Amino acid sequence: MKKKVLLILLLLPLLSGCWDELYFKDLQIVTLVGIGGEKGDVTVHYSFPSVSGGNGVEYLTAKASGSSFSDARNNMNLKTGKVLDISQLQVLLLSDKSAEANIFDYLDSLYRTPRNRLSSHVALVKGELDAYMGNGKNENSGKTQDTPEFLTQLMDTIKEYSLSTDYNVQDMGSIMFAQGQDLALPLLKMSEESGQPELDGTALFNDFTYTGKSLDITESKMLNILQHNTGKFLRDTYIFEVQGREVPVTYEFIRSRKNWDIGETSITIRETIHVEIDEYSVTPVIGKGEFAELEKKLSAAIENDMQKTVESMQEAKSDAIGIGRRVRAFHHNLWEKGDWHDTFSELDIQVKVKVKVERTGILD
Amino acid sequence: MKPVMAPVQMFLLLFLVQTGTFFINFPSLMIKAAGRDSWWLFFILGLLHFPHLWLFERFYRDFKWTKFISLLYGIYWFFAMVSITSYTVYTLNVYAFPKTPTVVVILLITLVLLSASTSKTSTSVNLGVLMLPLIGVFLIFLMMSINNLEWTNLFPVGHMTSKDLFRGFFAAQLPFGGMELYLLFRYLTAGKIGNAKLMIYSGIWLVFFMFMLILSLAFFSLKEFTMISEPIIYLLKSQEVTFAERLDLIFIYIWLAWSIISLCGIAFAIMRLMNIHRVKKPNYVAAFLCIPYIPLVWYTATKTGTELNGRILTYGHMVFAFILPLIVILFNRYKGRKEPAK
Repeated sequence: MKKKVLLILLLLPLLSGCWDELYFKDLQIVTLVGIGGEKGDVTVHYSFPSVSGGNGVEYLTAKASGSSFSDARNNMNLKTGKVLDISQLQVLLLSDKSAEANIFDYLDSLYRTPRNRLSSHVALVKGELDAYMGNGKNENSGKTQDTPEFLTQLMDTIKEYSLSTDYNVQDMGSIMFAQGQDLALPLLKMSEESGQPELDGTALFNDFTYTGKSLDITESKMLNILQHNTGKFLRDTYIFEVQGREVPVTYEFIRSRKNWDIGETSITIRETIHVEIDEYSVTPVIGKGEFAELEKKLSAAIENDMQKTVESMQEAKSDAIGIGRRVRAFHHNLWEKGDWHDTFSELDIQVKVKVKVERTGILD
Repeated sequence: MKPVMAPVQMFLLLFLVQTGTFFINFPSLMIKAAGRDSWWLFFILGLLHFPHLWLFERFYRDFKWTKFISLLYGIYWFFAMVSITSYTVYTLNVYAFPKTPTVVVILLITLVLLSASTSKTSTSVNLGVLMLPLIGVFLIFLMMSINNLEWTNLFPVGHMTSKDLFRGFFAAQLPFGGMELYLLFRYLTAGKIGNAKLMIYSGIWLVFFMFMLILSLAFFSLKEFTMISEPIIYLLKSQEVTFAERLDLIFIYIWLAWSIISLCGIAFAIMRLMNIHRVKKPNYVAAFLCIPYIPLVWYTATKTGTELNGRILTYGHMVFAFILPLIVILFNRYKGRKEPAK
């Protein structure tokens, strides 16, 4: 009996509810955050879904300024009915101007707070952040655009189709602090045609800061192959001259094997890439020695693009491939030559590509 | 002393005490001290676990549990329990219960501990079985990060200074903590324990900590360890799964159970010491010990408090697992005193 009474007494405090419970009805879940401004004067933009009568989900926006990310969030609470909660964040946008300073200064709070999600997508944006937050009106319908939802889907597509790098908040932190690899993030711009964001390329970083230089879409795909970090699909098209006429040839990446030959002053990157032919209107692919010729042309074209990609990165002093990781681990003399960004930019890096057409689709 | 457990139960209890609680922050401490050299340094030091246990097995009957020695070990284990609980409470406050009053968390943990330690012997001995499937789940989810590992993070090695080596040696002691319990548990264990059993146990212990260390080192970059003090939980936090928003929270609760079972193992040892010396009404003594226990845990459940406790525990381990057993065993062998064979 005594034990039962003791047990009941012990369980009583639990009935009063948990101190740490949070009700969704008390919070405003933010799915898109944009960080702009500069160190000491940060502007944080929030976009959050709200159910409006008859119109379904509408995205509302709000912004606040402060000396830091946390300070801006605290200031935001001064003017919102519900507390904004970023624990379900899906996309984090950084303004390209803000990223020209150390971006970790804006992000510390994101990593430090245990409730925050680390698997959110991250991208850099060109121009004013307001345009990306969903508070613009569509000229045709007059309704607020669902930019946050569109952005989430766009980022998923970028990841799935290897259109740019795919780093979440955690990956971004790890790479920023890594010795021998630099960050590269998808760079978005507002399309004048559709009024929606679209991918512009891949922004190159040097340690914690954006270099102001970026890779175009083809180079971004090459970067994914060089990093051996491709998404589910990677496709690209080249125009080759076949039988006296220009023919578009589209390949789909299957897999690749790398072999880096690292010397004292030069590096040779050898990539053997296995592909499937996705489009080749001069069928059959196999016949009259065209198969070998096609592999040769693809090898030369991809090699050329990869070489350009490496040169763009060298120019930006941004080792987004992570060659420096290998150099730091196994070629200490080269690593010790000086700052890796300088060494990387001065190295003679040659890319050699060998393409093997493994499949040709259901047509020959 | 009457044997109360089989060798497998003893090894399970010892494993849970040695691994519980500190395995989540050990990689960070070790890597901060010895950098990329930490993995091979810990591997070499970890190989000494077996000879250490072998020496305990060979000479445990020369380690006589006199009143004075029992009192010393009792105080040390009491302090170890305070340290483990304060670290557990601190971590829970940071990750899971930031708004729950600290004293409530301490009270609940203390009540569970008191209940387990005043229960039948078989409760403390068999409690660890509950953890076996959970440890498996824990390891499987950690392996989800395998695609994100960067193996070049393990190299280059051999760039340690003598100061780093010393700091690495010091940090590596934490996982060894609790092995002095073997000297007491062995008396309570029936049957013969051969070298093979000791080697298997030491092997499992070493593989477990090497796994935690290498996984952390390959997942995070070196500079991140200056900021991340619980890399294992942080690593789980960064994994995305479809069934839970915060994987880290699930594992924090598993880790809490692990820590409590580890504490029960130490509390069991203290209760056994009271039993050896026929202390009257040991359950009341255990309840009385909660009076200093709760405020001590409360006072040290802070960032600086837990760090200080960790350092003291490491020194304590050196004294109570190396120096004191050596002195007592040598003294008793010189005097010809030993515990009677069972």
